[in-house]
Amino acid sequence: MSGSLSRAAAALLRWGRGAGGGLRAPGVRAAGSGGDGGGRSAAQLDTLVKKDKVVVFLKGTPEQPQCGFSNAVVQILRLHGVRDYAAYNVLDDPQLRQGIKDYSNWPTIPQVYLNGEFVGGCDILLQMHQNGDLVEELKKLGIRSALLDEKKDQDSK
Amino acid sequence: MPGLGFRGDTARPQTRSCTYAAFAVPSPLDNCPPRAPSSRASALRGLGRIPPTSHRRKGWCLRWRRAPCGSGPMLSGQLVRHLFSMAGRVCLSRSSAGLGTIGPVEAAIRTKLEQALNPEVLELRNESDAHAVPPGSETHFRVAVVSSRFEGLSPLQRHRLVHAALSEELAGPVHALAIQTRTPAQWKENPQLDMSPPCLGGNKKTRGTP
Repeated sequence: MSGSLSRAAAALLRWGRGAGGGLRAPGVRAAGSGGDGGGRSAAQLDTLVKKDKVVVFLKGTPEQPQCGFSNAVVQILRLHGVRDYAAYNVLDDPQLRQGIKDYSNWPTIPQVYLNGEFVGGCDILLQMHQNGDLVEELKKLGIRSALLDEKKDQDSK
Repeated sequence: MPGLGFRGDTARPQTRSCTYAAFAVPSPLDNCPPRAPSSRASALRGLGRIPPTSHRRKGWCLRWRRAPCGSGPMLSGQLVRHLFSMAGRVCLSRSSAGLGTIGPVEAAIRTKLEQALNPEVLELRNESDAHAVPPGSETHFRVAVVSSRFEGLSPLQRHRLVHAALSEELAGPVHALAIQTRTPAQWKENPQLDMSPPCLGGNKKTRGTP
């Protein structure tokens, strides 16, 4: 038990060091001021989801999710060490909340986009995490999953 | 998008046993056959990870059977491994002991999925009572569907089939729909049902809006 706890602690420390020396929040980006008054057009949302490699639309924020399913997405990304991603809180913007559902033709939140492509909700992200697909998809984006480092540590012991 | 299944690729970390149990607390149910508390269950109860067995869930009897612990490296340590192993094999059966009635939305969901997907297994659960909505709501559901119509389809395509069948409900009262889709072969290989993570309150201002 102590061995696994120390490995988990070591993983957390590496996560912190990888951030440049300290634990920091993911790159939470606000979805614009909406000053144009035109809501969330498909073109605007298309730009939004393609601006970053990993984009998630949540209820709440990564620091304080307000939905269990949104929290699950945040935790899965955390497990893989994905720290620099765009997270948009749909609870702050009703037009964004409906707009992203129309854009992806997906009726629920959270929604996950990888490389501008809609991947699914938290059920699908969990499946990808379970069967290892998420590691490969992140690799395609040039993101090395922290789970690979964990496995490497275990193999070397 | 690849479908479900254990890849058996030793080069990739195996996290098959990771479920929402890592982020959730199992819901205890009354009216279940009593089982001897395990040492792990007692330990987790002591840590506040499992609520006291006094909560009553309407309409379902959940029988838990312990499954072997998942294999493979787990990033988050021993406690999370305990939570994973507690997910186990889940068998859901509809209780007819008057624990609750099926609401119209639940009935409609069941009918539409049966018509659209001709499922071999269809497990539907109204989870609204676990969320910040008024009693008797039909807003949060979890469904597991086993159907040969999912053959050759990616998870995204499968979920879209379910959404298409339930478009009216999703545009209306249903606030959240957790979906598990499997082909008959996949179900035979892994008949484990997921559980939903705990509600984190939602947005009180827009409660009830998907």
